[in-house]
Amino acid sequence: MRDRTPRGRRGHQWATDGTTRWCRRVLRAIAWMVPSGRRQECLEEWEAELWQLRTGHAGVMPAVVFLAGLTIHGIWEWKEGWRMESIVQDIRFAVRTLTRSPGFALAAILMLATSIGASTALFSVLEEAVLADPSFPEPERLVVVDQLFGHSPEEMNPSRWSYPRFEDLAEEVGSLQAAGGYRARTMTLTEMGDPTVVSVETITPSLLTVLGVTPHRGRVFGPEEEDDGAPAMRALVSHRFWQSRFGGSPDAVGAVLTLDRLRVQVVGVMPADFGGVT
Amino acid sequence: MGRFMGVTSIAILATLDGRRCYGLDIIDRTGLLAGTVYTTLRRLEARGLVTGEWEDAEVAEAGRRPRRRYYTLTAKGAEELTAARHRLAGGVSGMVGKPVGEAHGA
Repeated sequence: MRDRTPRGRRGHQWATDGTTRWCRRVLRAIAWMVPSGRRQECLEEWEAELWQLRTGHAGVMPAVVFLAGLTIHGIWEWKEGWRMESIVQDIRFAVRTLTRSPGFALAAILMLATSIGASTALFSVLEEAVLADPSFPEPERLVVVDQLFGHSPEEMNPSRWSYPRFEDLAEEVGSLQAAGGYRARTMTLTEMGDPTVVSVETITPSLLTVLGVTPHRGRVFGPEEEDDGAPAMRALVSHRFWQSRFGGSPDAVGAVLTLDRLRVQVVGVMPADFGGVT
Repeated sequence: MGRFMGVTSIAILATLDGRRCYGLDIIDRTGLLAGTVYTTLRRLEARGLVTGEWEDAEVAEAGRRPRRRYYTLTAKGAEELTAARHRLAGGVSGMVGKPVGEAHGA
């Protein structure tokens, strides 16, 4: 709230010391607790009292006691102000102020709407990617191990693991209780309606054991897939895929998918809250 | 008879009896805190027992000070004050039993 009375215009002058300025600031803050309809009048009345205290009394204590008492009164005013008529009055005042300068009001509303929308979208992404709890137990015990290659320490780039190197890691790094590998890719699903590109994670059989995830239906990969000698053409499908492509049918387990022309047998369905590793 | 009135309200009404006062004046005369005085004044105004009016700007300008809001007793306020004084006097007499002078056997 701005003091619209220029100094001396009405024949009085405020003291210019820091204490008086501080007291006036506090007074204005207290006045904000008063409903807008009576705020200006209360402020003017209290300023007259404060002016007298700062010119007629020595020391700061009388003003401090006065402001402390006013604060209590301000809280009472605030409580009283929460009556319906006061709220309606405030809304009317806001509407009148906004309609007086519609261009500014529109710009302010658009700016607010854009900011709130952007913040909400950003938070949604952050919550999904960072803040939400992972869908597997004891996530604090999990680590992601990257390997970096480069010509100098300053120019290092992440590099994919080869399978033999991954096996070395799993066997030789004693601080890891178990290790699992994965690689994200896309494949084309055919012979199941229109050809569709689907997200796929190629994983080692040990990965789901490391993550401690159990399937909703069927089984996870076992040693039989690992010791096959040839790449195991078996798949676990997501809960959403199971619902959309198989309609939640129990017959999904055992069904055969065609991915990049490879025949892949479904051995299980993952739980609904499992969204994959990547 | 009006509704029950607290001692603070009676003190403020009595301060305004026969004179007009501004807020700080009432605070000085009653010794009450600003919070108590203003809150009570608002309630008394709402009940129509006191009324507040701004002094003339010319008067304030002549005194080289901001204009004050003065409070005065309304007719209804004066009635309530009289009734409250009677109630208080009756209450005190009831507690003592007889006038103080007689109690000491004077």
